[in-house]
Amino acid sequence: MANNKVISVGDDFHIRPSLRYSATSENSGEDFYHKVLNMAFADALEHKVKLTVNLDTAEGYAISFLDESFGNLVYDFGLGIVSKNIEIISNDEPHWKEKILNEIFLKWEDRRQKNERPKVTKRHNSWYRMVDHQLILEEWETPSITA
Amino acid sequence: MGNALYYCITFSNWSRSDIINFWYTLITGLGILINSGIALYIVSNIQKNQVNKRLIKDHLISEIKDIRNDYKDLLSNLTNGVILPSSILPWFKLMNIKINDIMSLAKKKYNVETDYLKPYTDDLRDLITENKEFEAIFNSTTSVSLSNGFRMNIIAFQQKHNHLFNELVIDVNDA
Repeated sequence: MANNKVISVGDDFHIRPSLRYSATSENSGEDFYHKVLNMAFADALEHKVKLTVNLDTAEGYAISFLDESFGNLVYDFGLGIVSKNIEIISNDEPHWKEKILNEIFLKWEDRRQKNERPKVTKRHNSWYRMVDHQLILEEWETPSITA
Repeated sequence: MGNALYYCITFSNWSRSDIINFWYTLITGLGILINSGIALYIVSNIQKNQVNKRLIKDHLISEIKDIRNDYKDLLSNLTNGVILPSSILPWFKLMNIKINDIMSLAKKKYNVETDYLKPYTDDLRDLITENKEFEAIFNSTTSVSLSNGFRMNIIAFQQKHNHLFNELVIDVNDA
C-alpha cells in the first residue's frame, strides 16, 4: 500500500497562519488553500494515496483560517471524496480536528449542495475542482473585492 | 549447659494448665504485636495517601489560578491596546495545550469534565478572531487600541464566564 502524501502547515506554508481572506491578512486560509492544499489534495488523488495534513507545525490557528481552507476543499471536491482521502493531525489542539471533520466539512458540503460559491479576495492561479468525476484545472472564481 | 538443664527441669515441673497459659500468653502477645504493626502500616499509608492527594489538588488549583490570571492579563492587554493582534493566535495555542494538560489530569483524578473551560479555549478565541475590527488590525505591526464596542464585548464575556474558574477550583477541591 502506498504511503500517504504529507503536508505540514508550518513547513509547507507558514509558521504563523492568519485569518480567512488574503485581502485582510497575509498567510490567510484563502492563500493556504490556493497555494498548498488544493494542489496537494489533487496530487494525492491522482496518485491514489491519502493526504495527511499536519496542523501541529504552526503556531496557532483562527477558526476562520481552517474554515476557509478546508471548507474550500470540500466545496471543490465534495464531502465524500475529501472524507475518504484526508487525514488530519492535530495532537496539540485536538479540538481543531473535531471541528474540521464534524462542523466545517458538513457546513461546506451543505454550501456546495446549495451552490453558494466561495469568495476569493485576490486572483489565484488555476486550481482543481472535481466535476463529473474529472479533475478540472481552472480559475473557478474571481475576486469579489480588490485587495 | 547448666541453664538449659535448669529450663528442662523447670518446664518438666510445669503443670498442663501452666503450659496452656504460657502458650496463650505468648500467642496473645504476638497477636498484639502483629496487629500493632498492621495498624501502624495502615495509618502511615493512609496519611501518606492523604498528603499526596492534597498535594495534587493544591497543584491543580494553583495551575487553574495561574490560567485565570493569564487570561485576565491577555484581556487586559488586549482591551488596553498593549498587545500585537497577530501574537494572540500563538498565545491561544500555548494556553490550550496547557489547559488540555491540566484538564486531562483533573479528569483522570477527579472526573472533572475536560471541556469545563471551553468558553475560554474556543469561544473567546473565536469571539476575538472573528471580530471585523480584529480582522482589520490583525496585520498591524504596532499595538492598537480597540473600540468601545469591542471592549464591551470582551468585558461582557468575562462577566459571563469568570465564575467557571472558581467553580472548577471548588470541584477539584471537593473531589
